[in-house]
Amino acid sequence: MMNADETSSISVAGLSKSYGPEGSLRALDDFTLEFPAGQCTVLLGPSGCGKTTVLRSIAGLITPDQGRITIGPSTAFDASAGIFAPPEKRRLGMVFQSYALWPHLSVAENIGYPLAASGLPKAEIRGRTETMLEWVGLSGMGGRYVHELSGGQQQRVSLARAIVGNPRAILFDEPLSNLDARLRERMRMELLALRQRTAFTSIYVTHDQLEAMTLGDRVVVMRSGRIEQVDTPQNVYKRPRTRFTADFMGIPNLIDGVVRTVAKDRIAVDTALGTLSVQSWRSDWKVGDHCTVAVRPTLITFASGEESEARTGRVVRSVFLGTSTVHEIDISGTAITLESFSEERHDDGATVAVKPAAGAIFALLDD
Amino acid sequence: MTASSRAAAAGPQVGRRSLGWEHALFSTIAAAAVVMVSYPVLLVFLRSVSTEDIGSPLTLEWLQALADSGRSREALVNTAIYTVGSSTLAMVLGVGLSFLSTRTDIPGSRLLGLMAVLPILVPPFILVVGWVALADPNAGLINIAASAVLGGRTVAVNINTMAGLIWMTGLFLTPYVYLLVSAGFRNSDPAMEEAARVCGASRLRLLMTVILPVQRPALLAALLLVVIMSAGDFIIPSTVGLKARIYMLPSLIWQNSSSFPTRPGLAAAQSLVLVVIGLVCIYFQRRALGRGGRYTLLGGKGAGASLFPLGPLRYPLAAIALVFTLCSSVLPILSVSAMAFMRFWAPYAMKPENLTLRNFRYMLFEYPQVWPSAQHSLLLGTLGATLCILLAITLAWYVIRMQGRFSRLVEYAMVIPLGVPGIALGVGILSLWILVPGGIYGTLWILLLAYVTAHIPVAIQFVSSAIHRIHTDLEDASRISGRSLLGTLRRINLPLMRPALIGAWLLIYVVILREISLVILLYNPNTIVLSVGLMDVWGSGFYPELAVYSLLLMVLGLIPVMLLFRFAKFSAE
Amino acid sequence: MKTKLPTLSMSTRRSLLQAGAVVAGAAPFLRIPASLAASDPQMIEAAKKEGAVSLYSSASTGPSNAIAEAFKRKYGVNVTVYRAGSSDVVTRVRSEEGANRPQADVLIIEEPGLSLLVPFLASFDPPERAAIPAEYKTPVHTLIRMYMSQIGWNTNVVKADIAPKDWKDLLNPRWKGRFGSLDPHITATTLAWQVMVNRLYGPDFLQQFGANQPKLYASTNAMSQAIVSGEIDLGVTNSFGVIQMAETGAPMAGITPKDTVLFGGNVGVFAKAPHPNAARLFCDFACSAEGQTVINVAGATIPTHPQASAPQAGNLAELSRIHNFSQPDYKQIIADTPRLLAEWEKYVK
Repeated sequence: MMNADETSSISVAGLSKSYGPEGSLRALDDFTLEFPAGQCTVLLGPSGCGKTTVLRSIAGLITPDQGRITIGPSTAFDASAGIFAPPEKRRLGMVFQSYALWPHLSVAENIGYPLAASGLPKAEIRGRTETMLEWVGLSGMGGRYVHELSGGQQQRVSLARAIVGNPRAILFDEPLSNLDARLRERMRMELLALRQRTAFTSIYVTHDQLEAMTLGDRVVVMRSGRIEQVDTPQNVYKRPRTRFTADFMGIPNLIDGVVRTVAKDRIAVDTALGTLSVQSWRSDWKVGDHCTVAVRPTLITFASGEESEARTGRVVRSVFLGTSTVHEIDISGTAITLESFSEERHDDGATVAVKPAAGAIFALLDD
Repeated sequence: MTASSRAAAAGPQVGRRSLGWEHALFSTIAAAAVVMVSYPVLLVFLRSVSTEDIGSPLTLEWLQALADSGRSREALVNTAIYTVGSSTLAMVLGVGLSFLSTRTDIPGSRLLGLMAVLPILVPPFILVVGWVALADPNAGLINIAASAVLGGRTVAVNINTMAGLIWMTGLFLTPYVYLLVSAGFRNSDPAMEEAARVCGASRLRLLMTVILPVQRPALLAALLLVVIMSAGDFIIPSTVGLKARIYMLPSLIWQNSSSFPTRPGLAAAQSLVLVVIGLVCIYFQRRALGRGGRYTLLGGKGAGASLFPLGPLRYPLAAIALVFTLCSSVLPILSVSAMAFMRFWAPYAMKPENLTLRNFRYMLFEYPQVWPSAQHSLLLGTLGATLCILLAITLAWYVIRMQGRFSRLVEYAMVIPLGVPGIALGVGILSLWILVPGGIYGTLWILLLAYVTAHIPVAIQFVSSAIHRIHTDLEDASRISGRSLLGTLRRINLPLMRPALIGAWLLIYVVILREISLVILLYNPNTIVLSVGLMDVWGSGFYPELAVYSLLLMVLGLIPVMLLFRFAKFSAE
Repeated sequence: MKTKLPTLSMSTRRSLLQAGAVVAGAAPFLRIPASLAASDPQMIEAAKKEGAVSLYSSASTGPSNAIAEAFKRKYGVNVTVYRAGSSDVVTRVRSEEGANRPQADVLIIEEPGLSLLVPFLASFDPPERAAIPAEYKTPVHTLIRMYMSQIGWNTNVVKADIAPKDWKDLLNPRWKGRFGSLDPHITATTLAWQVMVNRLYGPDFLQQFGANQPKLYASTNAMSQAIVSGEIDLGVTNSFGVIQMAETGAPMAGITPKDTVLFGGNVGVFAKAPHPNAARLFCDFACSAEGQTVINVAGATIPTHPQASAPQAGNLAELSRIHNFSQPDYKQIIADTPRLLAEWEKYVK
């Protein structure tokens, strides 16, 4: 289906882009990154962080102010050399949030469009379109029009269209955010299956951390036009570098502390939750430094009052979520969120004891 | 890295999306278009401050004369009353009809929609001649009938009054309002209305607070168009208006620029008044719209908005709509058709012994100007409308999608011709081209240029709103799929814009066919067109001949409409 | 005198548009002397070589097209006609000459437009005008058709007993708001009428005329139309308008008051004519008995060539025995136009 030999690495260097009068709005600020061949790189961040600007710059839909973009062997953009390859010369595929299917064309014509654009003979276009239809599970629907399909089917057509022309890379621009939760879940799995079947270069833009975790070989967290953290999904999840990343990855507990001891790979930090064992990306911590620790709600448990490392607090409220229950607890002025999978229930206002989960190691934030 | 970014900073500032030759092409065309629409205004201005032709010593005597002349002042007041009256009538009728036909359960709504635009195909001469035949105080059929019923000499309606002029012009302009407004009504997002209903708004309140305000851009566009069209209208003021001795600026401009003794400077000064009015209207329209909110962005869902039940008003309102249709097209066409078969026209002469086919034989086979002028009109109508649309696509694309360096300038410049009445535009174009040796003066090209210049604003209005309705993703997806900019325009934008383009093409074609004031100074015997020939027959022929000529003009306007209707049926899903 | 209804069934304007053939066939009937237009064969040859001639005419479409068609049939030289009101013709010629791009070859126009265009005309003495009396000729133009100011009315409404006899009868309150006039802003010939009534009745006339509320029309035929349809009962019009409308069978009649203005259509050749030979040949044809018959029959006007025949409009010699034809000084009128128009605007609006 997808010819993996065609797939290329993409390299972006020093990309900047401003909008507004006098360039007052910086969308992208000296962005540099390698997108390795055959890997899926996820650009993750809130709206306005510049992730879409990166993607559209690579696609050629935006001309950055500065920097260079190389796709495989060829330079697609170089501001200083005045090079700009238009999108149609970059040989990319793209899946849009809006699907961007053409309402005046049939499903088959939509999928076959890139092939027709490259001037392939009709018979071959028909053959390859058929294969793609089958491959995305829409056999026999080629003659339909887009508005006759469901949202999920439309997104599959969009995917098929992005892939059919053997692009050097496929760009995904929040492809699932228009779908409802169940469908999104299913499409995510389908995309994962696709990734596992074929190794192709892809760049995936999303603000959904679950999609980033599932689909990315690498996750790039972005903030205000800059890279906040580049790492494996596991690291971004478990060891966020910054307050921003931690917050964006869904960690509500960012607890202030003071460094107590500094060992080679472990640091002990005194916090409202007691002394926590943490790992840090930084190596220059000194005893007595003020710092912030990111504590996932699942890594805190209820304790019996006698345990030495337990701290007591007051339950502000509990929210039952089905598989788990989330408790908001106030420990002498510090608000802590705790997620528990047990059936244990506490009334609002009850006094409880909590402690870090056994053996848990927490992330110490750089900032 | 730092080195390279420093190099980049020193390099060319490339803030735009495309660096290619396409951008250069579009920019060049845009620059040419800006020149095309602005020089006539400059030349009109120059003429109004020149003693004689362009190049003669400057003077303020014409502007002074404009201020001193009681006739000019009277004309200005009359023009103002006429403009306000006919615009109001056209807006009420146009908005009412489009609402009735698209958003209510009125019986025969589709037919009503068709009949509402039909008057656009009726040449204004038919409307004028038809209404004179119907509502002249002495000779009008309505008054004759009223006298027969009520006895004595009853004048039920009098077309030779300001109200009569406003009535005709209002009817004449209604379809333009309908065209601009009905699409918005048809496609408006039902969610917004549902939200208002949920909030407890009554239907009337819903109409006043949600449905109409949402259409504000379309309503303002329609208002601007009818205000400027009625202020610059030439035919009705210079026929019935003249007879009723109600002078207006366009008829004075015409007199001063062609009648003895010609006062081109005064004509230019009077044109300048109209130009200023037009540009001021445009300015206020733009300001009222604000930036960004210029077009209604349509929800792509296309779910039908709910229909208002009219209840007991269903049939009465349908009857009113029917009366409008009768007044604006059916009755005038019938009376003009009757005229075409008569030896001479008079209400009492409608007897079998006065019937004849001689008018047809004479006009269609013996009158030497008919077929050359029909050929020229068809050629110019087809070419002019096509060029207008192509240019409008290029310019709208430059402004909306490329957002080129001068896109705001281009956007504003392209509205100018809207504010310049046909006759003034003709003066401006003539003033330049008569000076260019070996240029296009006296050829069909100058007419083509005039038509394109005059109608580019309307074309852009249609094309822009069509482009705005196309999500950029649809174009981007095509670019990424390997189609160039022009390929994308052809394969994606054009097909998606087709209904709007066909509508705009037809409108411009029909308007070109009937345009008189614009070309009356520009044509010559070798380039005569139907509308000018018609004016000539009005001036020196008889009504029955005029009737045949008008019907011919109407039929030629109908042909492409019929063809496109058949063609459009295929594509309408 | 009352205008008589035409008696010759063949002499309608329309049938004469196909002039060449029809006139040839009807020659005995209309007493047209055959092939009088014996022009210089060399000129004919040169004209044919030029192949086309452009006529700027302020005569109505009927007569303009008729003579163009007749000329084309006779010589095979194509005629394009620019027909417009005399003011438009003047404006166009002046702007074209001003820009030094003349397009016009021949001119047919009446005063005062003629005087304005004389500077652009060439001296030419067409052979065919030898027979035309000297008072109709100048070195640069020749009078070929004449008509008069008249009062025309609808015979259904205006019966013989109340029909006006003179211009003064227009002031009768009976006609208040029910009569029409041409607008001098558009048809400049009306200025000559204005000067005449001023001279005859003094300045009060125009004031009372205005007070009686005439409706204004842009052309003679538009007014004939309005009279016949019943819009107005009568109007200040021209002889040809009355005659031609009556020819259609419409209930129209008119009277030429004792004092009236005689208008005339003149032919001339432009000095910078792009087709100089064809222009001269056309001018020659227009002066000939044949050409004058065609244009005057089609236009219901009076020819100046003694052998030309257009009986509808009557005979000038006979008419001048009854009427005083006003011979306005058009140079003076041109100079006075702003004043005359201001006067008109003051009283008539």
